[in-house]
Amino acid sequence: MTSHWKQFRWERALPAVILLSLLLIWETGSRIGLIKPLLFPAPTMIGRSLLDMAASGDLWLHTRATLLRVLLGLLIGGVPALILGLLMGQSRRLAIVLDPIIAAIHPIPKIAIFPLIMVFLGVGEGSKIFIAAFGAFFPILLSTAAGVRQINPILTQVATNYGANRFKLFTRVVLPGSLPSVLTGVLLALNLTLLLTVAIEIITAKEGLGSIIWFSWQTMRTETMYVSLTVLMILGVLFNGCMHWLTRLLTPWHQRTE
Amino acid sequence: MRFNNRWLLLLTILLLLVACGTTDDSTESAATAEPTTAAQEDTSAEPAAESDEPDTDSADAETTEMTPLKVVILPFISFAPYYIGVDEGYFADQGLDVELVNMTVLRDIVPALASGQVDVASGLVSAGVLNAIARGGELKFVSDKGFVDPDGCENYGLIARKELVESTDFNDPTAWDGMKVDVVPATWLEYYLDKQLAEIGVAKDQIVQSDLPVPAEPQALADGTIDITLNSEPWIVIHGNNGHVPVLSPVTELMADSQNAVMYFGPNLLNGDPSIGERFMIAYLQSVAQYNEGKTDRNLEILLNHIEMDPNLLENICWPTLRDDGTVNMESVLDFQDWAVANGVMDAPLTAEQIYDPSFVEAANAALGN
Repeated sequence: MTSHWKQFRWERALPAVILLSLLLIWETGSRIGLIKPLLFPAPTMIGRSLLDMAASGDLWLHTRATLLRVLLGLLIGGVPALILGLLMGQSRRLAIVLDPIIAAIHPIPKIAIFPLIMVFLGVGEGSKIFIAAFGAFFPILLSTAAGVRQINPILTQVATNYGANRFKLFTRVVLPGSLPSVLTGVLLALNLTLLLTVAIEIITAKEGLGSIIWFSWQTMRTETMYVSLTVLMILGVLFNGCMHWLTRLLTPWHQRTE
Repeated sequence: MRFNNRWLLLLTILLLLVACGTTDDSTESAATAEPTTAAQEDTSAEPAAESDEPDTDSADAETTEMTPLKVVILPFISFAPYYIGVDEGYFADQGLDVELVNMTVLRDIVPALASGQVDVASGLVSAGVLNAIARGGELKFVSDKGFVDPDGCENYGLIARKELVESTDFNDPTAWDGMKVDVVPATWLEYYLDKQLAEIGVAKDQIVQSDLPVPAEPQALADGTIDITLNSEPWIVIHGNNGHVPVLSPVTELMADSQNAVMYFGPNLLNGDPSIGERFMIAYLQSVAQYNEGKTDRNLEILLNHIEMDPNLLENICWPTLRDDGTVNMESVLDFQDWAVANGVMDAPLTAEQIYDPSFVEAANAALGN
């Protein structure tokens, strides 16, 4: 038990040790001039910049702007995707009709059509949130449809034999059966939406983590870019953690099976 | 099952086609691959400017090893001398094999130049470039690449959307409350905007500033997302064709002699054999002399070879003047720097010597007898 606990702690500590070692090498390299500080400023300089931006409130202002776009995009793109995915998973005909259309639209680079979206929705928030929603739509749609399709048909037959109507079949079999897959889709969508939101902010936004990155290149204050990247990494880890927690909470049977 | 096999066959054919295409491409790129950097590889090349017989320069260049140089090009008319230099063979005469590298925005240039991926770049005077120098980036201003010629045409302007023009008195400071102005921040353009606003007594916090991609500007002006954009040619004429017009003082009056763009050398030319930079500058000044002849048939032909622009538009736009001797107005640059520090986009001011190395233009002017 003790040796198992020790091994567990070592495994947990290893990523932190690797990360700290890399930061130490980076700091030393930057200080002795092995690494160009113009493009790779020392981690302590980045840390100072992070603290300054946090103290001034700028960091929160930009993070909030990005998070708002991500969450709105996820909501606006995710809800229709969830509904359509559930329908496509259950209806073979609908899937046959929509699959080729989705296969054609899905690979379109969302950033490439941004200027077109701006023509219709303007250069304000609408176009940015649309791109985020567009990005969120496909992972949730595809994961949901796949999740419904992989439900064991025996479960549906048993529920029907016990007299379950369509509503009960949906709430007791289809929804719980597809939920792990749906949540995986939401996690993928969250990460993709964050990526697209930041990309759009680099092009056009005045606020947001992407706009920090853009302005840092504009003024060659690259440490602020690393601050933004650090926050984005933290957000990625948080999203991942939250979704795993949510998955455990909503699908305890799935965890037990695993 | 048959259906699946058909798809599989189609995919296989597609992959084979891609594979064949890739083989051809890779062969071609391997055959045309050029060395990346310039100065380190060149020390053997004989500087043509030092030759006793100047009229044999071309022959020398053909027989001696050419020095490869990567020069960044942005999509603006003031980059015309580089095209002229390539097409007229001024660079080749100096033993230089110039490769023009297209980029779209100024901010992409500095990392490429400071890391030695490219040798020469040019762009607006900006806080980004000055900060890069202050932070140890090995780059320096070496030549003029654009200034406001008091006797020249209006190459920059504040363009107001047509709906506002008749109803607004732009000289009234209160009219600027909440005005949405599009400008590239932390550059000479924003500095120019501030000068314009200061002249009519408008505080910066009265306006709402943004920076849109240039292609989005026509739509943004049309739908009122922005009220004013600060831009250069050809956009002044393009916006003018849509009814939007320049307002406030002409740039030639307000910013006379102001240095708005410069050429920078990176570490390859600053630290390597100085004769390469000097030869480059000789060819550049020869190209500038031809460019400053104006919209001649030959200059128009060269530009149309390189840029995708309607020939009528190219003839109608204002071509910015470049200094014949390539010198940089450092007084103007230092004034920009004071503005950048005061506005918090630069950490601390630099000395003129830290920013500008005039040795290349001096040597080139001496060689050309200017």
